[in-house]
Amino acid sequence: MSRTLIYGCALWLLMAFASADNREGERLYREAGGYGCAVCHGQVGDGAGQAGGYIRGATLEQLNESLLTNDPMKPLSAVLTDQDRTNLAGYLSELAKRPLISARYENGEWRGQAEAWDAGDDVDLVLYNATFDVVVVDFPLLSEPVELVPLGTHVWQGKLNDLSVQLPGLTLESL
Amino acid sequence: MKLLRTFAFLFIALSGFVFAEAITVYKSPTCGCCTEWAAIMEKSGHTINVVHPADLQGVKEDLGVPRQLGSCHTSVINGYVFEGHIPEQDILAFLDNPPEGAKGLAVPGMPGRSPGMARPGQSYSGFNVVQFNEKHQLSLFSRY
Repeated sequence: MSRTLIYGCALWLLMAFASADNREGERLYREAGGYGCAVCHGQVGDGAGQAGGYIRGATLEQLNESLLTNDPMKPLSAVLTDQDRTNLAGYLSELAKRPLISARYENGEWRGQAEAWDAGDDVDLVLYNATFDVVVVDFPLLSEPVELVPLGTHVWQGKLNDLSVQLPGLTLESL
Repeated sequence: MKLLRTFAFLFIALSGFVFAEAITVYKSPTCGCCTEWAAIMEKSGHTINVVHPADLQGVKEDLGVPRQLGSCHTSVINGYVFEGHIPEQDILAFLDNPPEGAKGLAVPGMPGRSPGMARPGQSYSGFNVVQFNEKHQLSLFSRY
């Protein structure tokens, strides 16, 4: 009986350390190194036009490879433990389960790109105001209007059912 | 002697001589591209004092950097704030004639072809240098 208990505890400990804590991965994504992954990869791994680019769904192996070979990322390898890396990869894997819609407001209109999605999917909607004016976003998809500061970004997560009804006026291309 | 000093002063003023600046750079110890940017500025003759604060985001907030303009490192020169990978020529142009009410400049995020991010010899392109004030009002300073 006691041996079974010991084996059980050992297995639990092994699984606890090997499995990803996605919330901790999300925290690291925002704070690692004092500036976070987001500054180079966008708020939800979307790239956001920055040097690091799109990394939603990146695997632990890809993360380890980048920490080994990518110059801006190399210094981070000294502070990210194996568990930190597992957590980060877990968060990136979680992000990839939600189709991404990125939209940019400029010249009086919203334009963007969308990954393949089906009605009822949970999506990540990234709204970026590329102007130097405050923009009030009042898409029916949002529960209430959002005031986007100049050059500001807002990320919305939730179910998307009908693009033309919930995001009218947004011109989308396939991502 | 006095004549010589006056001549030297006039020469400097008229030739557009660029004065070296004392720059305090707040960065994370794990930030490689911050170090690259600081090296570019140092190579141009400026004096660099690097600080690694425990709470980098807190420093940015205390210095008045609008959150949406955030990058990896924050620099302070003569009381003005410079966020991110700003080309030296913009910083010098700003300091030469600081716009009224301006707090500083920023290059938000991490553009791939900005100083400290671009490969050696690669031209700078694909980003804006943004001016901001205490009220976090923004305007375009220059475009690359």
